[in-house]
Amino acid sequence: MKEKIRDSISLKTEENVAYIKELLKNTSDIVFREFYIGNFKAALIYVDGMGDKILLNDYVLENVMFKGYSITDASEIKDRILAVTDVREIEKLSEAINAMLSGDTIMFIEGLENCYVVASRSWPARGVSEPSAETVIRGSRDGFTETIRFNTALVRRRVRDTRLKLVSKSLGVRSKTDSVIMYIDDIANKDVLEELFKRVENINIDAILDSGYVEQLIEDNKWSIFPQIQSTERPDVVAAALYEGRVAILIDNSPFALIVPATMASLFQSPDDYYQRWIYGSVIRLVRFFSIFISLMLPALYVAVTSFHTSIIPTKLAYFIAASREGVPFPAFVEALIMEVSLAFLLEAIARLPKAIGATIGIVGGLIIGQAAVTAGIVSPIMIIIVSLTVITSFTTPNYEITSAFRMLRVLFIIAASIVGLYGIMLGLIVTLIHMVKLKSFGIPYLAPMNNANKNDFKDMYLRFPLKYLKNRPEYMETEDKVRQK
Amino acid sequence: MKDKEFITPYGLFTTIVVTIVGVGIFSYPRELAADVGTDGWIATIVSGIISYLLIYIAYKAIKNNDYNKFYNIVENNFGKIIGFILALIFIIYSIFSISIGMRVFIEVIKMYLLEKTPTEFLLLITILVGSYLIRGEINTLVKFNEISFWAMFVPIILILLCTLNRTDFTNIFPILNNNPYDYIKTIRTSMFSFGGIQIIYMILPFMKDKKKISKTALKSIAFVTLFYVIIVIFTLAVFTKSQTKILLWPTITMIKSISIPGAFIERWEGVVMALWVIFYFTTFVNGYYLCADIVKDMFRLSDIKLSSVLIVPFIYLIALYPENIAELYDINSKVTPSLYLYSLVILPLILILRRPSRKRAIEECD
Repeated sequence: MKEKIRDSISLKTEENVAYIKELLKNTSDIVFREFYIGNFKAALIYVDGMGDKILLNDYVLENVMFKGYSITDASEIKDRILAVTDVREIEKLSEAINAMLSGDTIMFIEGLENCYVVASRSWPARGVSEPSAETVIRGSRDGFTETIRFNTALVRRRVRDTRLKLVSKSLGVRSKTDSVIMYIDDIANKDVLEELFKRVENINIDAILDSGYVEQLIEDNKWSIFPQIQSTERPDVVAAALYEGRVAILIDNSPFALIVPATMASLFQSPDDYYQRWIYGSVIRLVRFFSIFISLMLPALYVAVTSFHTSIIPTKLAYFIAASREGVPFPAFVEALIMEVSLAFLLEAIARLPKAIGATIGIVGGLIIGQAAVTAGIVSPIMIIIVSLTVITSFTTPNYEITSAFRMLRVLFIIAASIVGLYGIMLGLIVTLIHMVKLKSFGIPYLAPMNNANKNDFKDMYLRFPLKYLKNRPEYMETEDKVRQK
Repeated sequence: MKDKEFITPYGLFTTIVVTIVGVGIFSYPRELAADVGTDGWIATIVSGIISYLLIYIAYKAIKNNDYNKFYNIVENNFGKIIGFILALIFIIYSIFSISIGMRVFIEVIKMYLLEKTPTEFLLLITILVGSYLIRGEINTLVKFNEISFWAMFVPIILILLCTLNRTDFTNIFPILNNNPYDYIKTIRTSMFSFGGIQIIYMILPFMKDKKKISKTALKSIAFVTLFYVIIVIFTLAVFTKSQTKILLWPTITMIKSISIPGAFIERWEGVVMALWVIFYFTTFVNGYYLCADIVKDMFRLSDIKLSSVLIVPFIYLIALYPENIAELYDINSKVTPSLYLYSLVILPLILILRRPSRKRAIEECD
């Protein structure tokens, strides 16, 4: 997969240019510009569309061509007349070519053993805009974009600390995607960091197109249905995670940053919990836990109660349910599955369609078909209510991946309930719990801090205590600097 | 896992509590009321104290043997053949108690939740789920215990609060109104509800902070005793002693009596049974793990996955053997006492009375 590129740079500019021309033949987007600086033959090479032409014309070419006559020694050029801030001297040709393919400009000068790389990266990019998947009521409106430098700047603006470290890596043998691992040196858990670097080193794939690739290549358990790495579009979420001792990974071309380690609790938290006053924050959290419980259990409970334990609910209600199900030709289990499946169709269709048509599909699918199905007697009205409730409740969780995981679990629970009723639901819960207990994200238990009775960590778990009481960083993260607030 | 010793005192506490509290709690108030009437809670406290002594003896026995694993301790002290037999009897007790518990549990489930589902099927799925947990090794098990502790006791306390409006606490009088022999007899039956303390053989070798063991053990036994006392007093307060005596499972009947006007749920025992699944399940998996672990060491198997499979048929067959509940309790009362006495009293006592194996080995070398 790896390509052999020469490392040594020839003293003769023509030779270098000829080599690169040979290497990059049949590539129409490379611009070669040969010229003289005084008496020295020089060449600029860059990718058309990725290089900043104004910079190259006005500050590089103009300066060196007009003022180059005074130069006697080639090594003076960089220090005296190249009026550009970011110029690197590079010894290896392969490295210079990689930089050029990322948008920089190579500059060869005759008689020099090294070449210069002018940072001229510039391309049409989407500006910072509001995150589409993670909206907040109170809080910043800026979201990550596809350009990694903008993203690191967005985080840096929230962490102006000398101890914020950004380690760059190039991932993908062919795509050579830029990636940055961000952490705060004296807070981050060193074991997590070491493990992360090890796993990132082991990535050996041709191309990384999105942070989703990296996520899947470095996660702990690929057979689990739970996401073990948090992804976010919000720089403030990344900054908050850094302050908690987590590590963030930013990938070029992806507006989603990854945060490791993820815990179940962190996937349920929204920045709003912290930005609003603590009472609202706590209530919202409770609402969220309750709603995830409903979205997970309600259809399964309905199936269990109607097919096994009709005696649990009040007699009147039992009669009511029985009456509303009269004429429905399917057992409750089949009815629930039909609704779950059609719901999955609906959600997928809305996600794939252009926004303008999406609303129409919502109305046709949700209202018209739902109403018609009830009138036709295929499903009972109660089932429609239950499924709608589960959908609404499932989207109270800020993280989309965990919502999808719970959606899949819900179907398994319905099946378990249809076989052994409430007992099946309980066993299903136990199996889920066992699985979550086994799960780890970069050495940190997935269920932390639920599995230990740590008073400090519980202050920011089911409830969100007033900020004044949250004096320490999460203890399960085993951070180096433990105190947040004196 | 960085080091081998990772279990915190909290892990030990929850493991002991969730292992001891199991299906015994269903019939416990009846067993007490049958002999001493209103004085059941005194018997509970006394047996709590005795249990602590037993757990302390076992702790000393393990400590004298350098916190070795159970089978290694027995082997070092008694040699290969006798050690094997002693360990086998110990396992038989553990398997027997979890199997009997399993059957009681399945019977309760069948009575209140699933009348028509075959016992065999319920047994199988429960054992399967247990095996899934066992395959995660001991740190998974302890973490599971830590989390289930909350899932168990928070709802049960809420439910007990709901029965408050039906209680009449004068029912627990008179106090100390029986002859001493009755107390001794009751304490003897009551002790079986504290079975499960042998779980420390599994936990202690992996404890992180060994100084805190005896204090944590005291805390956990005290917690269990308090919980039992509360259950006994509540059943007495709700039913009086004469009624408690004749109910098969007074604890469930007590919950059945809850009625909250205007509540959505009419018959609480179904819901409570669902919650109770986790009470039994923790007792089961901990006992199961203990057996599987010892079997693994006995036959020198490479990992616990294999040994856990080996035990499954025995649990299944023993649990299916009794034909009905009466026979179940009958067998239980015949077999359990002697095995209990051996596993929790005689064996640890012998171990503690022998000199620590390492010292002996050093002396022999001299």
